[in-house]
Amino acid sequence: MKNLMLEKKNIIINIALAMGIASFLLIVAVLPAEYGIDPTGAGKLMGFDRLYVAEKASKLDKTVIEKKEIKEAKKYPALKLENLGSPSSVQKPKEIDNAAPAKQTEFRSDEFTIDVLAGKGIEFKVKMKKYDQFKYEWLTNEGVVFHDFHGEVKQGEKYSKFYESYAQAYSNNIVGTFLAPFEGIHGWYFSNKSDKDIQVKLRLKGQYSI
Amino acid sequence: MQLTFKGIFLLLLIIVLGAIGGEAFAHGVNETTKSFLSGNSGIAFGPFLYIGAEHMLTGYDHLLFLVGVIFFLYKPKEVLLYVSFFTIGHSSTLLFGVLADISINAYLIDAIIALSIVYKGFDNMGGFDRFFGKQPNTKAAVLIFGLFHGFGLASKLQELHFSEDGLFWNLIGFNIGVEIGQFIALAVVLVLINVWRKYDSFIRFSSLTNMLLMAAGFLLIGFQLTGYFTS
Repeated sequence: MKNLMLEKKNIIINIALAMGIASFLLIVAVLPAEYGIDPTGAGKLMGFDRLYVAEKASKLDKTVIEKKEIKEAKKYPALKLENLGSPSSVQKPKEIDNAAPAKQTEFRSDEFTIDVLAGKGIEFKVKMKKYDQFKYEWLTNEGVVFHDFHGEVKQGEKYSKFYESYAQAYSNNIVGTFLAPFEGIHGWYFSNKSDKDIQVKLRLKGQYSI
Repeated sequence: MQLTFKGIFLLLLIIVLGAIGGEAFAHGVNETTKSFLSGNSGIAFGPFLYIGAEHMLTGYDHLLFLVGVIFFLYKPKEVLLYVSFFTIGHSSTLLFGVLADISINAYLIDAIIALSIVYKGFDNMGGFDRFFGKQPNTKAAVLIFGLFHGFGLASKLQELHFSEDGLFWNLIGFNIGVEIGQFIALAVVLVLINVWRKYDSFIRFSSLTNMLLMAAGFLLIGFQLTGYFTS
């Protein structure tokens, strides 16, 4: 026997049944679970739609983060230990070993807005005595800037050519605490490599003066 | 009667579960495999052989089509002939598709593969004879649908963006793996069907079985087309 050779009527009934079963399963279970499409609410009733939310969340998160990471990684070169701080040809000033003052700077808090123009860099520093400390927070209005958090040593009335970098990163937002290792000016160099002006909002709380 | 009924129930369960619950292992390329493939470069014949076999064994759409094809094939020789046509079909488009870097939307290809299941169910019911007075050449149909199944296989491989390095031998490994997987799946299905054929219920429920085959096909078409239009 090769085929069934059903009557036309029976074949039509079979097709109708097949489509009926398929549509039913599709609408009640598959569409809610796979695509979050739930016209009848049955998917919600049975909890099938939860599969979709969970799956979507994990998939989206993954792909968005992966894509973003790839893009960012391409855009921003890897930062190297060797580029941290001033070049080794610049001598460390002896003032770096000065003793801490008897009294630390008065406590204060401020909020600053720093305009980092497109394609430009800008410095923002505060004065600190040895072992003064503060908490800081900075956040861009949009986009990512390069920053080098660093300090220069006080040498009489001047500040040293030597500088020490505490951190470098491409970011849109960083918070942290800081304990000044020497008396001098400490702060940020922000550089904007995009073609749009970026505003950095900086908040400081601690022992420093302007 | 009880025993046969149990058998049928099981088969239905497999078909329905395979169609709705299969997404987790659909198309056999799971996360570990994926990470292997994207991290791989150079010739890795063995792994690709395994991935091919795994893909076929868990690729319910290919299996449902094969069940439809061999449903009314009683002679081993005929089974071999039809399966060969299917193999020639999907191997040529798998190799051609990947090597020539032809990619067809995976949802559309999978919808056509699902259509092939509906087609075969309809064919098994004698639909073409009844409605058009003539049955299309069944060997040609298997070959042509085999070509589409091959594009489906190719699109699955291409999705992984694995390295060009050693591509040819990896592809051959994958293809041979597919055939091994198909052979294992076929062996299991043939044993089950042959046992079932010994009972009256085979004929009595063959219409129902093919109806369910069609239902699974329609369901997959709906699933794939929705995917196509929403993505």
